[in-house]
Amino acid sequence: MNKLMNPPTSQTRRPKPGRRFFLFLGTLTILLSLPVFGLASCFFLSRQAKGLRDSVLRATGADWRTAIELNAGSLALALARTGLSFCDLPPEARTVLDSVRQAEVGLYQRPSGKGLLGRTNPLDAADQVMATQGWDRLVGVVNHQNLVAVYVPRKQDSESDVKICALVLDRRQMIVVSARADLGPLFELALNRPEWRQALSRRP
Amino acid sequence: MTEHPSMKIKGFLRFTLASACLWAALSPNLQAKDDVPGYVDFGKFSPPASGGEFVEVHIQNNLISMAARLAEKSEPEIAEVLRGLQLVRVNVIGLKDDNRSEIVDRIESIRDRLDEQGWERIVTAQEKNEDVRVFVKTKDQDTIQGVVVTVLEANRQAVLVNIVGNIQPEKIALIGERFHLDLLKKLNLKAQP
Repeated sequence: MNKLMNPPTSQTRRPKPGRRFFLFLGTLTILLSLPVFGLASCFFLSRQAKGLRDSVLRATGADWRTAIELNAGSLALALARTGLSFCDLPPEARTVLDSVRQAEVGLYQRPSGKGLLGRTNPLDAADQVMATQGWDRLVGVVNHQNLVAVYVPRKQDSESDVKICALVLDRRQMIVVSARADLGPLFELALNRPEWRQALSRRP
Repeated sequence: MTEHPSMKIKGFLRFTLASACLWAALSPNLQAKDDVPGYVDFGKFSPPASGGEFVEVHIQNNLISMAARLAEKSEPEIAEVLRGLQLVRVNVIGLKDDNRSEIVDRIESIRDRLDEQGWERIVTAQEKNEDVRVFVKTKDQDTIQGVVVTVLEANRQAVLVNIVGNIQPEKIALIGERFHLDLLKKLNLKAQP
């Protein structure tokens, strides 16, 4: 009876040596794979940017080649901020850097400069794909073979975390940009720029 | 010297487009419904197949509210104007041989519809190649619920603007004062008696 009432000894709690090894191996794998995944994620676009890119690739049917795809997440930007904190940056640049939470860009090129927009309407294709992901087009500009479209999420209520996705397309290249930023400081910066004030006062 | 109404409209359009670009980086969504007073469904436009100019700006109320909150501290008057707005839509469609007649017909039909629905036509300016009409929907003497600007530049482009919300004409003039936009200061949005 007494034996049953006794608390279990520390020996019974201690994991077996084999178990400890696997625990150690698992932790090591996770720790090692985190920076690998972090680094790899710098070269992949987010779902929205990918969706926007793919819709235009399909609509134009052209042979686009990826020139570069970069994705700077919060970790990469925090590292950049830390690194640049030792540099003597203009306050405006620092404000912009502090405001951006995530930024990604994809640049695609095609060798042939033949017409793109006459074939199908990439704007419609992009609108459809973005709408299924809950994004609406805010601005769309088409001028001959050039196209610019800016999308924002349908539900976006906080100015401290604004998401935006944009597409710029011409005969030879396509750029997809996506970013998340705190607009407050950027807005203040824009309003407090004397050049902006002067430009406005020069207007008719 | 009195300015021609079309000049005022051009200034107003310039301001609207500039505002749209300014808030573009900021703004999202009111599911604009036909029953919102001041809202006009222009329908869907597509870029001309032959590759002309096409601009579409669609700023909905959540983005406008966001912009209002951002402007609150430094530009309270502008924030007040923005708070009243629900939707800003701008369409610029280049006119080419393949779409000219269709776009002109659609704009004429929108104008007829506005006349039928009791919108007040406050500007009618017709020159050689330019035809400008501005309509307002008023709630009372001091509040406008919607503004529609229609411009037809016969050989070049058609422009449609719809601003929805509680628009107080004197506040628009205030923005003109604040940013030294003379044309906006002079723009008379008040419904004619």
